[in-house]
Amino acid sequence: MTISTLLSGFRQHIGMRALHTFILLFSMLVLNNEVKAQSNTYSFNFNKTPLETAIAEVTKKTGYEFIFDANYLKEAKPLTLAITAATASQVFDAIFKGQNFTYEVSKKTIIVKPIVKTITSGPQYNISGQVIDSLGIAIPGALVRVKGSSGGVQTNADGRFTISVEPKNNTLLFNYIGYNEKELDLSNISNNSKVSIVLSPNTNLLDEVFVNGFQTITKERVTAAYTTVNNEKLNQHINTDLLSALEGKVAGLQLVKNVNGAAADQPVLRGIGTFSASVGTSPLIVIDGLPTEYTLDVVNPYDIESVTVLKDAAAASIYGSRSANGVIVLVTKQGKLNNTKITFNADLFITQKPDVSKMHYASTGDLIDFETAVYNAERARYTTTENMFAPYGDINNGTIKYYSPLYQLYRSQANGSLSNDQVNNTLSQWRNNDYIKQYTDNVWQNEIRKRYNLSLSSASTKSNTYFSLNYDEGQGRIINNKNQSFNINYKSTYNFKKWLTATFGINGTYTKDEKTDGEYDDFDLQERYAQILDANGNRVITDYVNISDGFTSGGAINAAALAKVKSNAEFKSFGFNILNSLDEGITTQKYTRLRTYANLQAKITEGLSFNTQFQYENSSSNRESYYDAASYKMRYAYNMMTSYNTATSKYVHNLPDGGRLAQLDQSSNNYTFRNQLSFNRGFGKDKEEHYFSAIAGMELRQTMIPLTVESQRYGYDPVTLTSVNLDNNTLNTASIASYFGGTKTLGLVSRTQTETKHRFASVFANAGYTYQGKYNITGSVRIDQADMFGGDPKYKNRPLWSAGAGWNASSEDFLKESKWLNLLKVRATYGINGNIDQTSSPYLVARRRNDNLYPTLIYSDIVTLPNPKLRWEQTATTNFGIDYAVFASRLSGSIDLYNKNSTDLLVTTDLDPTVGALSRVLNNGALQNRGAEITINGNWFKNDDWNFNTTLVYAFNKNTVETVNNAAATAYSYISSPSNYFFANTAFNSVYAYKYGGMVNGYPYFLDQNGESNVVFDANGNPTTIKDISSPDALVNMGQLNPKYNGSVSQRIAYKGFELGGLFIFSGGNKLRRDVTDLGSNDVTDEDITRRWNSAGTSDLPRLWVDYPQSLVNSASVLSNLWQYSDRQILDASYVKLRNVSLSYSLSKKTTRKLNLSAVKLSAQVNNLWYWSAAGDDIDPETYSANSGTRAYSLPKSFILGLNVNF
Amino acid sequence: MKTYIKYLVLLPAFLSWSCKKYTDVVPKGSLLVETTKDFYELVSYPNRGYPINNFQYLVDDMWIRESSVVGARKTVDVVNFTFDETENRVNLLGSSSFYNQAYKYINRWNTVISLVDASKGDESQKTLAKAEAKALRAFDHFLLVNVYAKAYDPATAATDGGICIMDKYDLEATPTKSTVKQVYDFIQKDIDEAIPYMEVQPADPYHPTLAFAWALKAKVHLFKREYAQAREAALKSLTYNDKIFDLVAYTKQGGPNVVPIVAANNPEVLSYMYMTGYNEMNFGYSYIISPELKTLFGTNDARYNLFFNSTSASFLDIGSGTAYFNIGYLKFFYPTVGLKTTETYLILAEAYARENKLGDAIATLNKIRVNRITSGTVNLTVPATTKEAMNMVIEERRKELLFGFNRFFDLKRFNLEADYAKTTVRKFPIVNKTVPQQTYTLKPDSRLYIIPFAQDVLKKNPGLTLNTDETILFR
Repeated sequence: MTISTLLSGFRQHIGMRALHTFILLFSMLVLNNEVKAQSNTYSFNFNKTPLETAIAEVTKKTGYEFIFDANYLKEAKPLTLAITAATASQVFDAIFKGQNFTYEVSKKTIIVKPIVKTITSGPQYNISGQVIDSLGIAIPGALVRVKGSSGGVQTNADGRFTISVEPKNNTLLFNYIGYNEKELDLSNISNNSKVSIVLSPNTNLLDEVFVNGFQTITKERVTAAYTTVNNEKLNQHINTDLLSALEGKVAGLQLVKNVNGAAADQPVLRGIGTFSASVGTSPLIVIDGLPTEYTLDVVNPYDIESVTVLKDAAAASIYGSRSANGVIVLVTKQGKLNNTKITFNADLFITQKPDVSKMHYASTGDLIDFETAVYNAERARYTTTENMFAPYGDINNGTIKYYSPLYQLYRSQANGSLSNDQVNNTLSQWRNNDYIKQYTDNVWQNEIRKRYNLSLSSASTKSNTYFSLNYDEGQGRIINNKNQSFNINYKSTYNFKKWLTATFGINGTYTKDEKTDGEYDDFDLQERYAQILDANGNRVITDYVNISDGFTSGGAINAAALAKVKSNAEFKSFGFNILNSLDEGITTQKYTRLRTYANLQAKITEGLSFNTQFQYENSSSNRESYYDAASYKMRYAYNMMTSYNTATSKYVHNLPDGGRLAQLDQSSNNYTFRNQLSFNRGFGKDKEEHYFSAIAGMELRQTMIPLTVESQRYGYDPVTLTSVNLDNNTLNTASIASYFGGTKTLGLVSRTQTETKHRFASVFANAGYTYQGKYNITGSVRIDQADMFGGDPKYKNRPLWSAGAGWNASSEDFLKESKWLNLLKVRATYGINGNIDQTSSPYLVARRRNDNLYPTLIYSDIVTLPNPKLRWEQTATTNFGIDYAVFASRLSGSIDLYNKNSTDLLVTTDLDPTVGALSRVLNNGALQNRGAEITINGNWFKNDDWNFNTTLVYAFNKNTVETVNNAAATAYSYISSPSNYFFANTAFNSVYAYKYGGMVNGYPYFLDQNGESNVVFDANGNPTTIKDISSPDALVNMGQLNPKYNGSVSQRIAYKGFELGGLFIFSGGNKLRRDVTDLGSNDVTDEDITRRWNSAGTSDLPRLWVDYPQSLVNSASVLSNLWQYSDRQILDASYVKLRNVSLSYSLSKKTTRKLNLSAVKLSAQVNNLWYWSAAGDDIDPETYSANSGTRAYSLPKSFILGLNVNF
Repeated sequence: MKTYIKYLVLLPAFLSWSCKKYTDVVPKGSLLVETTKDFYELVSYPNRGYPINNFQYLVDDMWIRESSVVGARKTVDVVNFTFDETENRVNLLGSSSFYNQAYKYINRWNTVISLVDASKGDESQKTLAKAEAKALRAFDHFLLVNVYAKAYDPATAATDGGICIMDKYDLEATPTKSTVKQVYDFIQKDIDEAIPYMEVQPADPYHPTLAFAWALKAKVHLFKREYAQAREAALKSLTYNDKIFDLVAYTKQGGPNVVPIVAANNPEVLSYMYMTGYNEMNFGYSYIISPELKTLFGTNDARYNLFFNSTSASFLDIGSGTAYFNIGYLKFFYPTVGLKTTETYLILAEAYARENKLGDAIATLNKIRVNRITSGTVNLTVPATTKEAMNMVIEERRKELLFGFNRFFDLKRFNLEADYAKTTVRKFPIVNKTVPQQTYTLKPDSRLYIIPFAQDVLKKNPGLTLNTDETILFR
């Protein structure tokens, strides 16, 4: 074992406050070789300089490292000497001259050791040997002393020592920081023996502290189940946000992706424990001790020092009625004592366009062929072509419905306005077009994001300040989508008096997003054979498309209607080109978030302190979108709102010419005020025998969503900033008769506003007692009250509480000596957490509303019928856990088993409509989550240059619905809404399916509850009757949608300055439905259309709608539904993903010193490089709607470059 | 550290402990219903919808677009329009929005009736709140019993299956079905208990008036064939409100497109209830009237000429001889489900006719007609027989009381009397020639006239039986 590995091991632990450092290390890594160092000369000038300072200076200049016992410094005399042009050894001689200890040089390490006193009495004998760890690696600098005497020696760089011992004092003690003390009885050992001493690491002392937001406790006193992700682990990769930094690092924490990438991942801890959508699954987020309304994705990951995930009741129930989903505690960075640190990060993210080929779309030619078949089938149902087109409507004739350009082409062919040759020419031209390709080439771009982060921190005994600036800018997948974000974080702590500390912090974020109209995000906008650019690269304006404006009630138009208005100057063009439209109607949204907090801490007496904290958060967003008069949607709305007065033969434009400006200002704010008394003190022997820690306090919290400010202006002119007053009564409340048929209205801002204010008042306390550092008991209690909640006093003050016990087994004498077991801690907890859904109330609550007929009249609309028994949702968690470290902590980790029983869950219970309500929300549901979580961390191999580390995180969860209150009428309800309808004793979100019977003649058939086919065939295999299956008894339970297990494997290999890391994540045990083609619609684009049923019987796929005979078309949707949700379509949803792989290089100290920097690290990383999915067929289960069987683009690869500089 | 500093630091803690009222927040825009005044205000409930889709096409006055039937899936609409007695309607009725809405309103009235006594407030306001709520509760039960049960037949009402009576606020109740007579008795009791305490001019237009209560009483008596009492109640109602809006003068002024008549300006309205909602007439094209009714109007009836469109190809099958109400509610407020003064006149006219006071009957009809018929025969002449007079009353009812429940209820009750029973015959389709035209017949005693309870009710209330002979497959 070499010094540098030893030191890097030390650096990991040196920041731990639990550690009462008795050895100080001053080290600066140097790679100068020894010969060169020997030839160098140095000059020093000390004047009453403490030895500590002198050593630091010598270390800095010479590159030598010192190892010594901090106790020596107490005895050290200050230095006053001048050294000029001396060699290193001359310098050392001069420094240690006159001190009562000496030194020994070993390579580049100076081991300071006491002057061995000559032992005068009795015969002595010498013992020599080596101190090693359990893997045989030498431990240099270990203290070897004779029990009962003060003298001793330290091991050299090879861990070797020689000591003289008197026979009467024949026990040697071996000590080294971070390792358990070892005794060696020399009674049976002869003179000049060589011994080998194995020290086992004391993982207890080395481990982290537990931060629950209310207090900080050393791990040995904790009974709770929690996982801490420290700064080093958070920054193993370059993270897009804090959520991704946590992925795969916490057993039991699952990040559920939004399949369309439209929102941030949703964290779920230990399974779903509520039915209520307004409670949701998200754990409570706490920043620096106080609950926040921030979500993890908006926190700057570079500001976070550590993340602690509180999993069981003992950890989380101190958060009371909002903690049943678990709690995630964030601790922000602060300065380190006597250290000024400046860190700069620059990251570049490039995310590729998604791979559209994995969507398995049919080709343009196939789609044209298919649509032609559909046209022919539809045409065959009518006597004439014009009859067929009649239901599509026209101006003054029925309701206008859109039909495609291909239909129009055939219509023109039929009515003779186009010749067969013209049609065929057009078709062959269209076959060469590919709208999706043009869209992905011209509308999509690689997403690029640049992030810069600068942080400064400084700390002294008087104050501690951390300040950071973060700038983030990016461009989205669709052109013209941009975002910018600027984040400032400032936190400062002042120690005014020895007993009084104050902290003040402020965190501000400003974000500006520019988004194009969301309706244009999809390449389904136009037919596949349409064009965006022509052969010359010019934009193609399509005459009309199937997109309505969305501002009015006007529907889409068709070619027949367009033909009648095309040359009419009263109407504007309906022409559309996606690239033009993406320049229009850009929505700019600006967010500002502010979090500011203050914390005052006063020590009252020894062990007792008082703490008052206040936090205020405000977030506001301002959205503005402007469509100018020439934009597609404004032209469309203008046309739709045009009417024709037959009496005067005049057109009336009910919507003024001009643009549309829509604005929306929203905000929310909250504050928390907490007062708390804390007590921490040990009693008895060494003040360690009995240790008490306790807190008690109260908390007030208010959350508020004020009124929103919303406006829409028409006829808006961005130059004059004026708009036109509208006759809202006519345009919105009544309606206008549109030239395009029917009555049309203009959508307006709602007249109703809402304001939401909630208040919570809580008292809480917890206490822990530790005996001899081995036995722990803990308990906590909290009572919450909230507005409009818990009317019945029986429930109003019902406490949420927890109790726990822990045993630090490895601190027991009989295990202390164990060679392989370094840490064993056993803990068990039980407790109750709550959840709150404030959409319910114990009172009869009405909402005040304005009448429409008599606008000044106000009436009361009943919102909630009284529910006097309303109470918190409760989750009782039993947790049993083991923390372990074995083989010199080469292998460490934890195992947790839990049983979460959620009861009193708010469920919607169906009522007999006769009683006057269809359903009511009652505390009536129960869910159970049982599971196991395993974390294994292996430091397999570690030497000077190499370091191999593997971490495995595994979580298993079994979820069961225990009570059921609303039985659905139909089988389809269980299939389509598994989170609302369930059977008792099944998993929440179960996948139900119809029983597939088989297929005859392209008609699939299914088995009903009696096992009978729902389709009756005649002798020729043609269906005579097709029935739907609606009895829930006919369903088969195929498994569940939520994964049963998930986890990660993280592998890291470091060689010198290089580090290669990879994070695999996996998830499985759940099911998904195949994305089958709809049999009941002609609007299908999957490549399956080319392989569909044919009369030759060569396909194993069923008929599509177009293949159904006229007499059965209405049954196609019945069979389609059964087919889509049959047991035949269920696939395994398990997957493994290489979430990221990164390579980083840290510049050598030599180089950084030349650059005047303290550290430089360059990283390159690829996210989502590879995945395997059990379902196959290019399905990416993370971006797949499992229950509906809908495919979305699989996660594209991202390439990331990062630079990290420490000054 | 000095002791007083310690206490200073602890001060905020003590201050906050004293904030007992901290969590007593009443959200803005919301109201905790606690006082008598709050309960009284609950009686005022605008925009009540009573959807008619369970039977809309069962009546001879209504028509449907041909594309909704030809080649379409068999829905309740198709079954009703084609008078299809073979279909088990329970299978098509997962839930009935009319049923659920009506009982939801009853629950609101019961909230007032059951809980107002315990509230703090003026005793007379409590009595008033209960009286008004009872009047409205009677109205809702009246609609329900006439939809889901046989019309009142004095001979069999005591044994005919009715509906569940909900007489108090109780979400845990297991309702049981009463007979038609029991329901009518309950309705009458509510009205009779309400009338002595109700007001002529209550706090706002949505509180029921005495005119409404008496008109409702008249209607209930009429349906029970208690003509003398119906006459007395109708006359009593007319003493509070006898206004008829003059459509003839209105035609001269230019009609709704020139002079809009919003709700507050239509003096005929006795109560505000709708098929869907206050703006339903904006979408009048969903209520197409049959060629038969259109013909009945003739050419000089302002009730048709002012409001109907028969030419829009967007909403009508041109050539079918149908029409739709084409005037939005802001141009002319037309009540569909609620009572109006002209209905009171029609009740009075019928009562006179039944009592063989034919002159009075026709004179009453003519009071309406002078305000409706723009030319030609305005005043009807007194016929010789009750039956003839009654046919004139029925015809006038069809033209005056459009949409809503009126024609459906009338057909049900008249079908029980041999003199007035009607077999409805429909030839369909008229325009579409691709499918053969068929003749559909609805006999007066068809089971279709009684709407079966929907599945959601039958499932939650296993004791509830149907009033028709259809089967409940899941039982």
